[in-house]
Amino acid sequence: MALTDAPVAAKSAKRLRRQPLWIIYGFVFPAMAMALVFDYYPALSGLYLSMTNTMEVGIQSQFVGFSNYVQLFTSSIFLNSLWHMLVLAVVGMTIGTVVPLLVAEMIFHLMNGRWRYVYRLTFLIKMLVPGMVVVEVWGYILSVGGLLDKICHFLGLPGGSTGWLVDQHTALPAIMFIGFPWVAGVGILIYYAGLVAIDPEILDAAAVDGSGGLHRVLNVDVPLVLGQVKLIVILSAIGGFQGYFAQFLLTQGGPGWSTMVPGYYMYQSAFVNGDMGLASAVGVFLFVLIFSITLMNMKYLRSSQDYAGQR
Amino acid sequence: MIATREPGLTQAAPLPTPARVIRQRQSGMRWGLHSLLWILAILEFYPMVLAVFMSLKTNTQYYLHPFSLSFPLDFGNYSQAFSVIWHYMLNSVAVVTLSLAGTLLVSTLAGFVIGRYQFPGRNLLYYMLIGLMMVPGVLTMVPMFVLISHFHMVDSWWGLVFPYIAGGEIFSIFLLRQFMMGIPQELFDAAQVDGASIWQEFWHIALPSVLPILGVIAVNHVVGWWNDLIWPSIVLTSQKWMTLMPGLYSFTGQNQANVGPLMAGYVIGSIPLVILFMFTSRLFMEGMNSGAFKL
Repeated sequence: MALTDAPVAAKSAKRLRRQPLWIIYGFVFPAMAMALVFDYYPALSGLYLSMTNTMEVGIQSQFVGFSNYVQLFTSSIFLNSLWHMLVLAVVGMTIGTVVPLLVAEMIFHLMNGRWRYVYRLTFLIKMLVPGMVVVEVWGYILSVGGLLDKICHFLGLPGGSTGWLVDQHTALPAIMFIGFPWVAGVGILIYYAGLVAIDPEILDAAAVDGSGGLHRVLNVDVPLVLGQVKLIVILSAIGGFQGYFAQFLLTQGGPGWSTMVPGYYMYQSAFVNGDMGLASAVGVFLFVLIFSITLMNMKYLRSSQDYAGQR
Repeated sequence: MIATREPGLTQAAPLPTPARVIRQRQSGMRWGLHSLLWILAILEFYPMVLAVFMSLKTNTQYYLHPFSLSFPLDFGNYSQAFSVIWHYMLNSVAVVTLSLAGTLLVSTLAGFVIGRYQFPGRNLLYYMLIGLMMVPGVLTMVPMFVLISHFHMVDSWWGLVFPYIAGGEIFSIFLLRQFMMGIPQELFDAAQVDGASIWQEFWHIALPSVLPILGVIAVNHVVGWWNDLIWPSIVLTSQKWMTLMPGLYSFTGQNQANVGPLMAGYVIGSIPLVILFMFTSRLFMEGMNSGAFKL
C-alpha cells in the first residue's frame, strides 16, 4: 500500500541464506508461542464460549448451542444498542473523515515547512493525553451547570437543566459532542501525507486554471487522496463499532439504556452480570461485523489503487 | 496559454509562474488560516487547560468559579494527589517496562529471521502473525479474561504484560520484517566471511540497523499501555498492583466532591508522556503515520 515508505529492498529476499532449522525456529518460537496462547486461543475459545452458559470462571458450564445469540437478538436492549452503535459510528465516521481533511488542507496550504510541522505536532500532542482524562473533563463540561450550560445560558439558548448526559434525549448526542472540535488524531497525519504526495505539477496546473480554495480541495485534492479517505472511513467505522469508552466512564449505558452500545453490553454482561457466554456472543458478533468491513476495505483499497495505476 | 484569463495582464508583463500565482493567493488567506488553526488548537486543548485550572482551586473556589482561573492558586491539591497516585505510576512504569522489553525481544527475533532467512513455513508463520491484525480487541477481551483466570494471573502484572506482548508484537513484527529486509546484504556477507554466527549477525548487524524503528515501536506502545484503562481495571483488583489509569479511576470514585485533587491527579498522570514526547516527537509521528495500517 502506498502509505508507508518503509525501505523495502525486494531483491534482497532472493539472497536469503540457510541456517540450521532449529535455530531459525528458535528465533520465531517466542513470538509464535505468545500469539498462539494469547491471541489465537482466546479468539477461538471466544467462539466456543459464546455457545456455552459459562457464568463465572471455574464453574462447570454446558454447551447451549446458539441460545446466547437467540437471547441477544430477542433482547430489546441489545437491539436498541445496535441502533445507537450505528448512529454513533455514522456520525463518528462523518466527523472523523471530514474534519481532519479540512484541517490537513489548511495546514498544507500554509506553504511554510516550519509552521506545518508546528501545527501537526500541536494536534498530535493531544493524542498523548490519556483518553480517560479527556472524557472525564468532558463529563464536567456536560454536567448540570457545566461549561456547556453556561455557554448556552450566555447565548440565551435553552440549556439542559438536568445535565446533558443525564437526560435520555440528549445523552447520545452529548456523547457524540465529546472531543469537539474533533481535530486531533491520526487522520490529520494520514491526510497530510497524502496531500504532500500529490504531484506539485498537478497543483500548479490547478492554480493556473484558476482553481483555488474550496474548489481545488473538492475537485483536485479529494480525488487524489481518495485512498486515504477510504482508509479513514474504515478506521473510524471499526473504532465506532467497538468503542464504549464514554459509556464506561460517564453513562454506564444509561440513562434508561439510551446510550447503550454492544461493546458496553458485552462489558456489562461479562464483568457486572458475570455471563461470560452471552458476552462472548456479543464479541463474536462484533468480530463478524468488523471483519466483513475490513474485507470490504481491502477490496476497495485495492480497486482504488488499480484505478490510480490506470491513469 | 498561461494566464490569458487575468484581465490586467499585457503581453509585455512577465508571465506569472504557477508558484507565484499560488503564493499570491496564499498571502491573502495565510492569516485567515493561521487564526483558524489557532482557534481550533485552543478549542482542542481547552479540556486540558480546564483540568489545570480546576486542579488549582479549593472546593470553595470551584463552587464559585468552576471554569476559570481563580486566585490564590492552590497547589496543595497536587501534593494530595501525588501522595496517592505515585504508587500507581510506579506500577505503570513496571508494567510498561516489562511489556516493552518482552515485545521488543520477541518481535525483533522473529522479524530478523522472517526478514532475512529462507525456511520452510516462513510465509505461513508470517501470515499467521500478521493475520491477527484483523482480529479486533472486542473478540478476545472476554475469553482473554477467562484464560488469564485459568493461569491465575488475575490481579497480577502478568495479566497485563502477556496480553500486551501478544497484542504489541503483531504490528512490531510487521514493521521489523520490512526494515530487516531493507538492510544491505553486503553487511551480512562481510560478517559471514569473518565467520559470524547467526547470533553475531543478529546482535552486531541487524539490531543496530533497526534501532530507529525500535524507537518508533517503543514510543507508540508506551503511549498506548500507559493510557490503557479498561483492561487493567478488569484484571487488577487490589491497590497494591493497580496501574495508573485504573488507579486514577478509583481515585475518581473517591473524590467526586473533591474536584481539585482529582484534576491534579489527572494532570500529574498526563505529564510523563508529555515529557517523553518532548524527546521523541519525531518517532511518535512516524509511528502514527505507519500505524495507519493497524486495523
